[in-house]
Amino acid sequence: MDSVDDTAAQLAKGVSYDEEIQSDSCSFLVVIIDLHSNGWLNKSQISLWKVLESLTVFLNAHLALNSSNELAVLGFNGLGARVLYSTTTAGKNADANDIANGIHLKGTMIRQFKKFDESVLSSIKAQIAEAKAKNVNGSTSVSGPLSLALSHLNRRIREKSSMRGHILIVSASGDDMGSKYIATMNTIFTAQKLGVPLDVANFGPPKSFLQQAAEFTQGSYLEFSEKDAEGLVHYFCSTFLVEPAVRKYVNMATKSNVDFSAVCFITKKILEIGYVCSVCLCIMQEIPEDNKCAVCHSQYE
Amino acid sequence: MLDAYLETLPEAVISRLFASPSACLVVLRMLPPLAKSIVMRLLFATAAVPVASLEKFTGLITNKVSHYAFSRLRSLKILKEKYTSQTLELHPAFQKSLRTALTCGSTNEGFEETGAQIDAAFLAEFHNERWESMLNYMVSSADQTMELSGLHKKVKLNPVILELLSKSNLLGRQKNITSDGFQFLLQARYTQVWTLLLHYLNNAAALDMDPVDILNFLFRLGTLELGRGQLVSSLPLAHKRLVTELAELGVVYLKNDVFYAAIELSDSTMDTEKNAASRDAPTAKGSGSDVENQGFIIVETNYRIYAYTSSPLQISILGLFCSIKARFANLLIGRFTRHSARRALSSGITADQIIQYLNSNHRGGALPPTIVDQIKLWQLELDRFRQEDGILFRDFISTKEYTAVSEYAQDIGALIWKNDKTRMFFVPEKSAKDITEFVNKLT
Repeated sequence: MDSVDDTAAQLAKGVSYDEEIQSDSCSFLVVIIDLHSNGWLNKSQISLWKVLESLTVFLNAHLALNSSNELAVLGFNGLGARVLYSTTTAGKNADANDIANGIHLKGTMIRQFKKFDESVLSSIKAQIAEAKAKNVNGSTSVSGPLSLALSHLNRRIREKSSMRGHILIVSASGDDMGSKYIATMNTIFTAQKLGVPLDVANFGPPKSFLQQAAEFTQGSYLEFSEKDAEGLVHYFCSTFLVEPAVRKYVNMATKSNVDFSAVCFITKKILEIGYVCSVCLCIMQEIPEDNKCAVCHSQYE
Repeated sequence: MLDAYLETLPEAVISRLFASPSACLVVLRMLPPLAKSIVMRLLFATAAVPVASLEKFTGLITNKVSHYAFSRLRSLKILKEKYTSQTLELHPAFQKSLRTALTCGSTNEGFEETGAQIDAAFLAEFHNERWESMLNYMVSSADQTMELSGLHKKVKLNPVILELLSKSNLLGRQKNITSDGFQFLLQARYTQVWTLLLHYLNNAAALDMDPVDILNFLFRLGTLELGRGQLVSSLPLAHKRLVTELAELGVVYLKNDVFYAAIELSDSTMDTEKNAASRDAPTAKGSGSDVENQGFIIVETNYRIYAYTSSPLQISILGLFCSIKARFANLLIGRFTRHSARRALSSGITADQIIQYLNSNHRGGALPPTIVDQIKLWQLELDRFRQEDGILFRDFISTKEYTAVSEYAQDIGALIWKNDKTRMFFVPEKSAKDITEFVNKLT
């Protein structure tokens, strides 16, 4: 008999296994939307409103999955990044507004979704209008909004230990982030250290640094063109909705050949091959003429 | 519990239930995390999804975690499998309702809202008070055996609840607590609430009420925002009565013609995170809902237990399975002994329930493993023989086939006993189907 003394097995039974697959930690989702005035003008792109339609369904789904789930929506334009909506702050203010405006909604979850969607959409519109009015075309770098998102998330995770975070970047056309290379990579590494997956929905031209962001943090990087317009909700819900706690059990959609190119710290040009300072690890296109590192001033042999 | 109850419902009833978006949202929240992702993958798919393509995402269906997710989805009848084309799709009614819910489609599901608002902390307190007075009643009915007399004020209970408790077999004929009742006391609050509500449902059929109708009402209640008042007068007659009885239980708060959901019925974590804080730590009162669960029990490896509580209910519950050595104004010192544990075990409480109770109220990290093991060993002492209905697999043609099949049985957590020499193994009846399927695939 193999089961003469199964005391140890009996004791172990039902402890780790069940808990691991049942335990349902809640998650905090931060969505970063690129709202640059000329980011969504390209004809071959899906229109911003089409994307937002799918995005609101996706956000509703996130809130539906778990009653402790929370989310924040960030928008950024040339004027900078701003939190457009956050469940951590919205509750009280929204209620007060409702009473002021005399709105009496039927309070089921579906009504809450609707209310929430309207609030998100109106603040997005406001931010777009603001950029149009001032006619600015500032930095399109994702580093600023990303660090805002991470700090927002970090505060919540610290408050509530069962909370896990993930971030979705909705990216439009606009140049790559060469100019803010160091800042961008630092935020990506921060996300990696916090265990926060960065998902990317790219509606513009391929972006190598966002690919790297997804790759380093076990997120997904997907590119969408006009032909995907109809199935957008499906892509959003099936890929980006996977909660961080589940990710280790599933195979996420990832890009097989990630463009790992870096940027020269001095000339800000994108490099395939370059020199690396052996002291501070900064990347250079060519060795400076004075044989000194431009960042840490180490003297080379 | 709720999911176990839903599993027993026939297809026709489930279809009726799934026609309600609120019901689908509550059911969705009940699922294990991976199952939720699977639902989301299928929800907006335009055609049935091939099994193989889903397996690419979840890993093979035979692997432990995804097997669990898939079997839950199947037993709740959410997932439909087409054997001929090897594809999967969601239950059509479930898919339609969930799409409606997420796209904010129009439903006539809401109640009439009044605009009146009540603080969530007040509601939580109201619920706790009602619920604990009921638990107190149950505990005090067993008081004589626990040498704790004088502890309880005689509580009077509403006859409706009293009847519900005795019909649910939580209280016996002489209004004394049964072994089911003991187990009930140790369960998490969420489980307790739903256990009682399901008993209510079972009784409803006898009272000429439609169980699906009530269940739908509960689900709608489960998707209400806490603290928002709803008009009673807008409800049909059957539901008006339901609301008054739920108010007695502390599930809804009723004032004049307005009712409020007092707890989140769709939130399985409500116990550990929100209520526990306001229940046991007086400092948590009014400081918002973000207070982390602070356990009040400390268990040491020398079998001593310290509980910082003055609640008669908690003291009585602790008295069920440990012997109490000393009591102070806000501190209780007890000790686990073989005797005290066996007393609890023989009254029908299981080791797992004790451990779960301690775990959810323990302060600072996990319980000492020695204590956990010892409680389990005390239980094993009691049942040296185990009887299980099941199916014996034998007469395998080759060792290779035997190993493959028995390993599969082990992977899905079904293996009870095996003997490699004679190539036989034993599994419970419910898993036999999975294994036969696996054998058929193999050959």
